[in-house]
Amino acid sequence: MASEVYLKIEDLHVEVEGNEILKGVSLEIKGGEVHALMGPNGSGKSTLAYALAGHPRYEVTAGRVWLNGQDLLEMEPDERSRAGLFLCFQYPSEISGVTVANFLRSAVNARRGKGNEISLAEFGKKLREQMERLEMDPSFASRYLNEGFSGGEKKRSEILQMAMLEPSIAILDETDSGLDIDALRIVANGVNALKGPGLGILCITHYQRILRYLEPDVVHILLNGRIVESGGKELAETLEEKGYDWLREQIGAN
Amino acid sequence: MSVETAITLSAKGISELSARLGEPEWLRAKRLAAFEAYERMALPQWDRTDLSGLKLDEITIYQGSKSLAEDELPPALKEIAATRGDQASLFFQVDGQKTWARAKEELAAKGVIVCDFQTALREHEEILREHYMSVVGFDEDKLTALHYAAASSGWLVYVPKDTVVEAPIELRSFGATAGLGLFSHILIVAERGAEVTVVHGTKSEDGGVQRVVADVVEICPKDGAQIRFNAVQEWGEETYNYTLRRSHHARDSRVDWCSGDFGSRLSRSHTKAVLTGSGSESYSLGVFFGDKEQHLDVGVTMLHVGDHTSSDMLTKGILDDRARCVYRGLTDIEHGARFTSGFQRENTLILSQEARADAIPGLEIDETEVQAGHAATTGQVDKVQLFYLMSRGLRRHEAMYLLVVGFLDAVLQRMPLDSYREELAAIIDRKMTG
Repeated sequence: MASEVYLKIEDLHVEVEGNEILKGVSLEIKGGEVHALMGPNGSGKSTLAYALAGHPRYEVTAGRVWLNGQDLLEMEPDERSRAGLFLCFQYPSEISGVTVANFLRSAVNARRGKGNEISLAEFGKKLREQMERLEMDPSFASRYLNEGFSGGEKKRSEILQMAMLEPSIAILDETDSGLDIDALRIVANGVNALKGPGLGILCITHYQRILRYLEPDVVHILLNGRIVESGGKELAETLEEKGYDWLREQIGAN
Repeated sequence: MSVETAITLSAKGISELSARLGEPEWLRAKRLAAFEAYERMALPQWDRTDLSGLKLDEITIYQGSKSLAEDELPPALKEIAATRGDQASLFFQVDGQKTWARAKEELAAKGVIVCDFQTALREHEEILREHYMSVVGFDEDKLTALHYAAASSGWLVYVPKDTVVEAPIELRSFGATAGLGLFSHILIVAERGAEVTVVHGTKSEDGGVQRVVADVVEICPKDGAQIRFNAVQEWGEETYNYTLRRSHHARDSRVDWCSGDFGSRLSRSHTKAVLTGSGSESYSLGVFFGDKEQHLDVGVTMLHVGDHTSSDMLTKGILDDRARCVYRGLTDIEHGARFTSGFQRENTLILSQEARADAIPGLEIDETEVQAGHAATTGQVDKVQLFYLMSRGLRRHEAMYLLVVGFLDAVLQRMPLDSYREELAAIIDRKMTG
C-alpha cells in the first residue's frame, strides 16, 4: 500500500566528531504505533533523534532509513520534515523577532507549496483549536518563538507545532523531562489527541510516567549505542523498578 | 516651455547654473565659494571606504526643469501616489527638477511651507538666507563642497510656531536619466513647539552608468520642536551616494531619525545630531541591507553639548554576497554636557562567507555626570537556529528569511510611521527573495 506509514531503521551507525555513538540500530515503527525508547544518559537516544532529523553534526556512517517508502538519509532536514518526519526537540531554539503564528504559517505553507497557501482564516481557526487543546493562552501566538518560554511552554510549543504540521512519524525527544505533573498531563493528552493510523510515534524518555499516558506498544532499551532489549510496556515498569544496573547484569550474563 | 541645455560640472557650468536659476547675490557667492573649495580639496581619505572608483569629471549637474503630470511619474512613484491616497502630503522630484506634488490642505491652512528650492528662493528667500548652510558648512570635505556648488534640487520645509502637522510630508527624489548627478538639499525649519514628520525617499534607475549623488539635509528644530525624519535610500546599483543629515538643536527640541539604507554601489550616509540646547534629545533607528558588490558606510553621531541632553541609537544590518559595510557610531559628550545620557547598539548579521562587516562604535566623554554605553556585534546566522527552522520543513532560504526578519524586528517595530515601516519591510522582502 503506497500510503502506508512507517519508519524503518536498518543497522544505523552514527558518529559525532569521530566517536561512534550508534553502533547498529534497527527499528521499525508503523502508523498507529507508539514505541518508547529508553536508556541511560549517553546511550545514544538523542543521537538517534538528531541523526534522523538530519542534524549536520551527526554523521551517518552506515545503515539505511526508510520513511514511508522514501530514503530518509538522502534528504535535507527540510525535505525530511516535508516528507512527514517531526522531531520534538528537547531544547528548541529561541527565535527572536519571529512570532509563533508567523513561524507556523510559514512552516504550514512550506508544506503546501506556492499557490496553495493556507488562508488566514483557516490557519487562525486551526491554530486556535490546537492551542485550546494544549491549554495555551491565545496571546501565545503573538509571542516570539520560544523566546522567554518556560520549560513547560517550550514543550507545549513543540507539540503545537507537531499538531499543526501533521507528521506521519513523530520523535519525542525527552518531551516529558522537566515538566510538572499538570504540564505533563497537558502535553501527553496533546500527543494522544493526534494518535491515529496515520501517525507513528517514537517516544524517547528516561521515565515511565509519560508512558502511562501514551501507552506504548513496544518498549526498546538502548545501551551503548545498541538496542539490547525490546518488549511490551511492562518492560518499562520493570526497568523503572530495577534500574539499568539490572539490565546491564542481564546483558552481561548473556 | 523651452528646451534647456544640460550643464556640466565646471567653473563655467556653476556660473551658468546660478544665472539660469536667477539666484540672488548671497547665494551665488556661496555657490562659487563652494566650487572653489571643491576644486581646492582632495577626495576624502576615509578609513575602510575607498572612493577611487568615483568619477567626478564632466558629470551633468542640471538638465532643466518641468512640472510632471501624475501619469508621467516613474512606476515606483506612481505606486506611492496611489497607495498613500490622502494619508500624506507628497512632493516628488524626478531628475532633480521635474516636479510633482499633491499636498494636503492642512499645509496651506496652517501656514506650513513645503516647496522646491527654486520656489523657496522666489517666495521665501528670508528663510533660506537665515538657515541655508547654517547646519552643514560648505567646506567640510570635497563632496560637501560639491553638493553646495551643484545643488539645484531639494525642498524647504517650514513649520510655524506651535503648529502640528498631522500627515507625513513625503519628499522623494528619483533619478531616471543615466549619469545625471543629483544634488538635493533639504532644509527643515521647525519653529518653537512645532511638530512634523518627514519622509525622504531616494531611488534611481542607473542604466549601467555611474551616477553621483551628494545630498545634504539640514534640520533646525527651535525650542521644543519635534521632528521625525525617516530616510529610505534605494539608489541604483551604479550610484555613488554621499548623504549628510544633520540637526542643530535648540532647547528641549527633539529629532527622531529613522533610516533604511538599501541601494547604491557605494554609499556613505552619515547622520549627526548636535545637541546644543539644554534638554534636547535625538534618537536614531537604522537598518541597512547590503548585497552583491555593495559597499555601505553608515554613520551616526550624537554630539552632546548642552546639559540634560539624551540620545540613543540602534542600528541593525544585514550583509549578503560580497557586500561590505562599515558602521561608525559616535556618542560624543563634551565638557559641560552634564546630566546627559547617550547609548548606542549595533548588530550586523552576515549571510554569506564573502561579506565583510566592520563596526566602529565610539564613545568620547569629557564630563563626569553622564550615563553612556555602547555595544556592537557581528555574527553569522546561527546554525542551530537554522537547523531548527529547517527541521520544520522550511527551505533554507525560507528559514534564512525568517531569521533575517526576526533579527531586524527589534528595530522595525520601534519605527513609529506605519507606511514607512511597511515600505522598509517590503524592500527587505525583495532583497531576500530577489
